[in-house]
Amino acid sequence: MAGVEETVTLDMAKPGQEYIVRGIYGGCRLKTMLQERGLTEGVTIKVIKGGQGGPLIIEFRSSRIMLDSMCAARIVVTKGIDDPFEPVEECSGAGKCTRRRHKWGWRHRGRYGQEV
Amino acid sequence: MSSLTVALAGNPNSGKTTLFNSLTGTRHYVGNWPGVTVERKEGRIKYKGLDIRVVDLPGIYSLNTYSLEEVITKDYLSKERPDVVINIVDGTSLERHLYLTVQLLELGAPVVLALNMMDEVEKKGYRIDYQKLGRLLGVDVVPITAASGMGISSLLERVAKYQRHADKGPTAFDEYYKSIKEENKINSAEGEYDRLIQARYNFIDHVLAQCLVKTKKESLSLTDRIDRVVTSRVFGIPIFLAFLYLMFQFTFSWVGQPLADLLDVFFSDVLSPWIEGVLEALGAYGWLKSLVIDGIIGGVGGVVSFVPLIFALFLFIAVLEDSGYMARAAFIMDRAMRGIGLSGKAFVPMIIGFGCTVPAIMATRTLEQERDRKLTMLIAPFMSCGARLPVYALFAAVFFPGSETNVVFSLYILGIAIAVTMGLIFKNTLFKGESVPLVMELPPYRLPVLKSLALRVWDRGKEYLQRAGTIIFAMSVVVWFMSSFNFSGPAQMSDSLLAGLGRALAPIFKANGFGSWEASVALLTGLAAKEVVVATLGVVYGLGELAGEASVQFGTALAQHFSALSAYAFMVFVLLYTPCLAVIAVMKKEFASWKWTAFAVFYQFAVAWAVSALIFQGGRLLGLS
Repeated sequence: MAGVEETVTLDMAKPGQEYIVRGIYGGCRLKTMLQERGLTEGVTIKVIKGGQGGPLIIEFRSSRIMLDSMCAARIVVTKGIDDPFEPVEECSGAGKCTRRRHKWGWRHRGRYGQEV
Repeated sequence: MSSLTVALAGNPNSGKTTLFNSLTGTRHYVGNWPGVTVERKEGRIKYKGLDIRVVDLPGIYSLNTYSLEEVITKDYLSKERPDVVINIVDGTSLERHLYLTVQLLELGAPVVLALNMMDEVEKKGYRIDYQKLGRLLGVDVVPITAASGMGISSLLERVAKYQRHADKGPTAFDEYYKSIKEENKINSAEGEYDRLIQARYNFIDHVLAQCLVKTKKESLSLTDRIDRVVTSRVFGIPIFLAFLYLMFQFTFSWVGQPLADLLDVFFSDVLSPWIEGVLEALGAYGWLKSLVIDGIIGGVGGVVSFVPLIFALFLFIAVLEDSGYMARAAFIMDRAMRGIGLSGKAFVPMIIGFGCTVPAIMATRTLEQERDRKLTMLIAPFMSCGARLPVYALFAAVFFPGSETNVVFSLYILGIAIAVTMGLIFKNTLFKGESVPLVMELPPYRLPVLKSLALRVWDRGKEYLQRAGTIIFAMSVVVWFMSSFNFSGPAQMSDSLLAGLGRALAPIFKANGFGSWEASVALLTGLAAKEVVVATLGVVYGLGELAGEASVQFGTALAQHFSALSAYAFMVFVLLYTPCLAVIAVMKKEFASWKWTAFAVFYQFAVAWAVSALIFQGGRLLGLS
């Protein structure tokens, strides 16, 4: 059985290894943007180039993107689908929620597009 | 003749502009990196009695809008409702590209799917049953290779017939759409959006499971192997700097300068004496001879002789862009850019600035946050554009013979360093806060296609020649007029309007080491276009009259007014001060504010003056001359 150490944030993932995306945190807009580019929960990704505080290159769904470490730190991955993982409800996405303004200063849009 | 409006929509770097160029016969700028197209472009074609208006839209990943170019595309699709949407998808990355297709179908758009890069699909060992894909999605699917033109005529055929398309009956897409509507996901403004995205990808996976076969086992690709080296933490930046250095070696030592020298000989030893002879034989007035020889040949000829350098520089940049390396440069620079509060993605417009500042400013549209856009627009002009190259080439050849490459390389590095420094200052003053996270697609490495390179280099070089024939020509005539007349009529150059204007400005540049009226007016006229600096110096130093060994005598004239140190300070000023009128106009458009535009113009001038003066005065303190 896999241990807890198998659940890591993506910035800690090892180059050359494959992981499964289990959760994305850090605001609905970031989450939605990543999901729409195919980084959905359950998708398998391969870390091509490791972070070590710098950006990462990952491959998934036959395409390759780079992420900075700040972004990678908000993606929780596990080695296997059975590895322990407890999801945390944050928001429902689409940039339409009216929750808090997160630390990067993005203003979330209200339901009718107004800044909140 | 009936008409049809066709929009090209797809993910960034899926080949929309290449297809647009193939369809319309135009030659718009393409590149192997995401975000090349930031404005919609239009072209017209006639096909089988149809007048087809083709609209190339900026690339988007989804219909959810994050950046300006995505807003442009979404607005166009939802408000202007084209007759047909050619959704161009990269066949090697179907899983992700079909996401937008599904959204377009949900929107009810009349989609024809162009399955691009089929040559690479085969090489990767993928087999796509495109007919089945079409049946499942309920759309026409046409396999194409936009770069080679394969499949373009079939695509046009399908587009032309689209009007007559009958209802195809229930498809897999219809079932999917019905299911998500039943679950009320699509109309739910408040959310469950995660589940909707997941449902879309589940549907895509379901479709591809039936029509995509990967026959080759994935192994370490060439892209992986190259990326391991060029994006390495240790070698990444040295390799980037090595490419820059190589670019100047190529431009100055190997290809560009030898050809420029030949052209210079042609202008000074062949064209100038011949035209002078013709004018004399025709009994032309003295002022006309002066206008043609001093004004036009001295000004325009001085600029045109640098054409080979421009072509060489653009060729090298085009190779880096088409190969896919430029996107890696953004990756490499991410850490440095974070330091100034920007992401590596903001480095992309800055790299474009090596070619021309106008598209660099426009490329800031790919940045999601307004803060990042403004900050990048303020620092991108410090990246040395191609138009400044003639100034460097002229001064480096005269004052630093044998070290031209090193001198020009140092200017480019200085430009980057000043951009970073100003970014740091702005980050802690006007633009406090962090940048948005970096998420950027990395294209695979591709071998540049010779034809595409040649066309790109020719297009950019032609632009330079057109400027020589228009704005530089006009400015040369104006400069000649102002240098030959004053308010009382014809005058010696030292008593001319130009000299008067230059003398009024000269004290500003005294501390910089180039406080002569000639240098001052060259910098002033350089605001029209940077090449005009050379054209103006050519006119005021009488380059047109210096037939035979013209460049040597031009050099002697320059040497009387500049020392090596003041020449370097002058080049630094040219590197850093406000680029040109075209850039100012684009800045006004992109900032959408005169206040910010005026700030950008004056602060760049102030930075140029301060850095140039610092170099000159510092050099003098160190005993340099």
